[in-house]
Amino acid sequence: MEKLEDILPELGRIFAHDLEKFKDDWFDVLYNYMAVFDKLFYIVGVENPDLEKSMAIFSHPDIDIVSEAEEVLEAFIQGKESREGLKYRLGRIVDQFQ
Amino acid sequence: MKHFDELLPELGQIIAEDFRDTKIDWLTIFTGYSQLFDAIYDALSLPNEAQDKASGVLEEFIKLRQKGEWVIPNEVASRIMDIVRGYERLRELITQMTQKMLDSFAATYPDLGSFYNIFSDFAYIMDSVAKIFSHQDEEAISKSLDVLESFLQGEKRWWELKAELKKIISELEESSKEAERKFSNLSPPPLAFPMNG
Repeated sequence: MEKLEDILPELGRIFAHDLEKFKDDWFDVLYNYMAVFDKLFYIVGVENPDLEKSMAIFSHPDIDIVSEAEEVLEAFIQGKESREGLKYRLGRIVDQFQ
Repeated sequence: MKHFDELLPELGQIIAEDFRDTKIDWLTIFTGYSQLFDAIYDALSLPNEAQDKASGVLEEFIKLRQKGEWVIPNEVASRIMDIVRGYERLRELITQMTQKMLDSFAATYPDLGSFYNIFSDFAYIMDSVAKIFSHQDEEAISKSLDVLESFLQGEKRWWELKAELKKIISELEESSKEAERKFSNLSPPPLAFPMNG
């Protein structure tokens, strides 16, 4: 499985592409991605004040949760998951440890 | 709110009436409505939010004309074109903005602290722009795009951009509160004719 550091640039590329298309409910598209990024930051532990700011992306103690997030992201990048689905499934992962 | 497919037949009727009205010369009708159709055509290539705004302007025009008030179609065309131009500038600036965010991500990766700060700034700015675009105030929209543009040209810092967008939003909120106050202070208009007259 690809690591988050390989997946994130790809996610960034799709994000930029979707915004450039400038169709449909454009602000909703933007908000979906913002929610996705927000949840990803939570999952990798940025919100955790005990973690060092410069910590590497995979050093979050709960590695299972990071792997689960990676799977969801991979499915999205391969087109097997919709943008809404990505947001929803990442939200579910965040809910598990909130 | 009606969409273009419902409004266009109504617009067609108004145009037909204008052609029947011998007081209006044909050239005025042709130029006015051709500008309006061009503007509608441009609006159709925009996202749904922008189309809703443009169809709102057209709906207002149709209502006024159905009440017998005279509004020149060129004026409606130019209001729709303002909306179109605002969204076209937004598309261009947001593309640059997204690229800037992705470049900053790449430059600071894997420092999550910077990653998070860049994202929070971006999210704040996008949220502010979305709030400003949700208002009908084309002047405020164009002001916010000017600020965004000067940021992208390196003339403003992140915090300056955030502060200026915040100021535009508070001015918009203040003026809509003011409008609400004025509205609630109005006493109901006296009836022109007694109800059981």
